[in-house]
Amino acid sequence: MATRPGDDLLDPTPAILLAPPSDAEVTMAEALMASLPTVRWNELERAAEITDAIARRLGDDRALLRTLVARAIRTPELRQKFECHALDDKIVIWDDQEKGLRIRLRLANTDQYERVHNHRYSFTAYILHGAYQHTLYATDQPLDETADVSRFWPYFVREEPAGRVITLDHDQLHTTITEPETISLMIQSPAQKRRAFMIRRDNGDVWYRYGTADESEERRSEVLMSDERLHHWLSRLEAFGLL
Amino acid sequence: MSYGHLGYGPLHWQRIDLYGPAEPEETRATVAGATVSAAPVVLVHGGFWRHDRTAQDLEPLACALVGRGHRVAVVEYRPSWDGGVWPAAADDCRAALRTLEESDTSWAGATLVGHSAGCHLLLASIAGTARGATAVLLAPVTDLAEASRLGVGGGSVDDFLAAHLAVGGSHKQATPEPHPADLASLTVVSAEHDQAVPRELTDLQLDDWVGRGLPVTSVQAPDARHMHLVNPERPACCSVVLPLLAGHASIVEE
Repeated sequence: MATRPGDDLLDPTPAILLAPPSDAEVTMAEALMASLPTVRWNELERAAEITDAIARRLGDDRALLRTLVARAIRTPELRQKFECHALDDKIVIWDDQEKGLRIRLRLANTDQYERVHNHRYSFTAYILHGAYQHTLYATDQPLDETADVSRFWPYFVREEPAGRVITLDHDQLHTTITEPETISLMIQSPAQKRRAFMIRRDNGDVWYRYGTADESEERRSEVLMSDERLHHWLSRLEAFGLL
Repeated sequence: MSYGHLGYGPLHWQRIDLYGPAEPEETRATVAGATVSAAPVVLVHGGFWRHDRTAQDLEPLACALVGRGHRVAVVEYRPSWDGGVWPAAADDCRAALRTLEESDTSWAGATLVGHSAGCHLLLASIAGTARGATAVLLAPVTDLAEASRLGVGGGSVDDFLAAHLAVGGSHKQATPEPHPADLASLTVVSAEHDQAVPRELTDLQLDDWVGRGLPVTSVQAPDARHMHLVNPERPACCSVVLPLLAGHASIVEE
């Protein structure tokens, strides 16, 4: 595992595990989450308005966020959705597909490279810590193995600092180069397509990202977040004052 | 068309979206020596207090009303998951009406229109004021005990009342009980095929209001669903709701 800033300061047992929220706190958090609205992701402006408010409601209430993370850790169907990938890891804290609310923390790793990609889902991201260098791209070609990496043209570039909320349609091509340990609260729609397109800018390699249902058991095992890695992230989230 | 916002509190939810004709005087007409204009309209959106719908969802209706000469104010308020649990959202609605009238006294004569759960907040704001309001309730959800019993909004009533119920409050206490002095007229518009508000609830509410001696008129929009009443592209809105609101003209000067 790569060394990351602050690794030498890690508490091997994060406080959230030593003193988890009470059952009453979990019940209150569940009641609040149950009262969230249905998001109409097919109307992106409306979805952006309401998910911006939801993201800020959850992200700005650190006690609530802590309770939701602790609850997710002990909820098997959420814990099995905690994943590790090359560029970022994720902790799923709520999943209500009927309301269009899968909510997770995106945890950026140190290693970054530029891959132009779209998504299987539309999403809203509230940047809690760190920053994105965010670039939107246009292209005039099919998004498949024949894609020519030189024909992805950036047309919008800006830094997205902590405190900003962005909403993106699933078809939008973009890159987000993140500062190490950038943390975002993500609210994502149900899947809008079977696979997302990805192309690496420095060599043109194309690949796809699929949903859980299309992944093999082997792949699921590969990406499942270990307890050790989870403890690392919990400690970092606590160090950042996010939990 | 002109647009604007009016804040009535420090939170981003606590705002009123304002829409108006660019030249409102053109919309006035002279009737029997008096100048008559389309009455201003205040809209309170529904969404079961949790903002399945927001003020922005009523923008098409607001624009359609402006096209007919009305000035329109759309009230936003806190959702139950962000500080709006009973009675906070109703307090917001009451504060919005007060702020609006303080900004311009002509809003005191506005037609007050609620949709769905927005009717509950509107009626709670009117009850006990003796203001003689002209109110139009579209697919209202106001009797919270019955709405909860019937499962209207999928548990949203009890989410909205959670804090109130936790300290021993009742659904009945949170159900507005308007008096005849509060309302000059109360027009209730229901949608024939409303998938969100059962006919049983509408009838129970109507019976209660009639029993209280309120000046109730009931209208049913044929072939309409819940959101059709506030969608000006739907016949229920353009053939029933908009003409009904146009009928609430106000005499503004002799």
